[in-house]
Amino acid sequence: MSVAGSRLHRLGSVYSRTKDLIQSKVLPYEERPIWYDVYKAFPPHREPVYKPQSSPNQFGLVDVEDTVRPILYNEDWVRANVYGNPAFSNLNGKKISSLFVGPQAKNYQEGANFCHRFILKFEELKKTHCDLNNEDLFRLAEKEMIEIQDENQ
Amino acid sequence: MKRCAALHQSLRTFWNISHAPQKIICKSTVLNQFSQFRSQYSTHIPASGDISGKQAITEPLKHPDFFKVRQLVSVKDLYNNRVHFGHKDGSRNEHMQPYLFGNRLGTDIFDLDITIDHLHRALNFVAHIAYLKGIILFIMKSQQFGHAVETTAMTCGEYAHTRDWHPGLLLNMSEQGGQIRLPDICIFLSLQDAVNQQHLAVAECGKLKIATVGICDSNVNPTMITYPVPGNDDTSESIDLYLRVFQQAIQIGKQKRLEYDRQLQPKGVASF
Repeated sequence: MSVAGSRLHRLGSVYSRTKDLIQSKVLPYEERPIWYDVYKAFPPHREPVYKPQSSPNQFGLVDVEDTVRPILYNEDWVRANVYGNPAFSNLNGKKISSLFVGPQAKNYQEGANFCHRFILKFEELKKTHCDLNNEDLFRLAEKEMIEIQDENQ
Repeated sequence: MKRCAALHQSLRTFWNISHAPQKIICKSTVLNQFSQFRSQYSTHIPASGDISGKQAITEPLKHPDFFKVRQLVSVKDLYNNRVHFGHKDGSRNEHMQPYLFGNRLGTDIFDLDITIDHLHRALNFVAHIAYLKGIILFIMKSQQFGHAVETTAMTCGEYAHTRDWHPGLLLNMSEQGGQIRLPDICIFLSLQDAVNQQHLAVAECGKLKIATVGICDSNVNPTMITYPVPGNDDTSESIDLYLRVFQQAIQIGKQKRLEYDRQLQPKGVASF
């Protein structure tokens, strides 16, 4: 291979290395890579300089600040109680979802959308019953959902 | 007698051809077709001297979106093809943090507004390289998507490498023998070679002055990729989207080049 080059790929970026070779006239300008002009016209947001991952300390822990925020919604409380904690349910310790999801569900659509429909019902009741707290609203929504299911059957 | 001899000779040549080992014929015909095809697409443009060639290079570079790659893909397409899903937060690479929107119950979610900007930049770059008749190499070490990548590369007249990467494949030029041209850019559809290991070709491209475009999932180091595209690289939907979009960008670039070359040619001369 006659074309000159630097094989230290971790120092600088691929563009800066090529640029320096051209500046020092080791690499003739006519033999520059085909992407060189395109890179110049449309540079990327960040110059692609290699950065290693920070190494772990003596305890094997990496000290990196976590800047990624958790994604949470207001209705997550309802969602968690539909699927998880049966404490707010008055179905003798059963989960409300156990009536709808799984073999109890009539079809796939009903099981898949149950949580979403429950949340819609909860929000609807929240507008009409301003005086109730979340737990009472949950029980009310639970009662209404069971009524709707009985009507359909 | 003369006639008879000529007939005999022609018969003999026919016999030779028809009874030659089939492999050799196949190889030579394939190579011929291959070289013809490359001569159409991959000749370097003279960087100096030819004014028309120069104009062909510089004119599209002044335009912000010459190939109209922004129309190829939208944020909704990305969302419908599950590009926003990352890995679990335990396997996150610290350099991917600025590209993330947030963490939903332990799973990283990409910010698609950032992704679309990076993808448009990468597509524009790829289309420009196709316009300048550069060689593009698709790289993805995957048994699941290997065939899709290879067919995509074939349809747009480029190359693909989807098998095990032998260390030093690009670097041992002197041992290969004959005239070999390296790819001008490499497109990585996944940066991972084996589990938790960066693809060896990334470092080799860095050594050989080859610019790279790469899809970076949340568990890889994107710093050495020239045009990184943060996004999911594990589902078939997202890989299909990337392949479709890159193929279209390359085809648009080649089509524009063909049109330009036809304009330059004097009328009456068959174009080949």
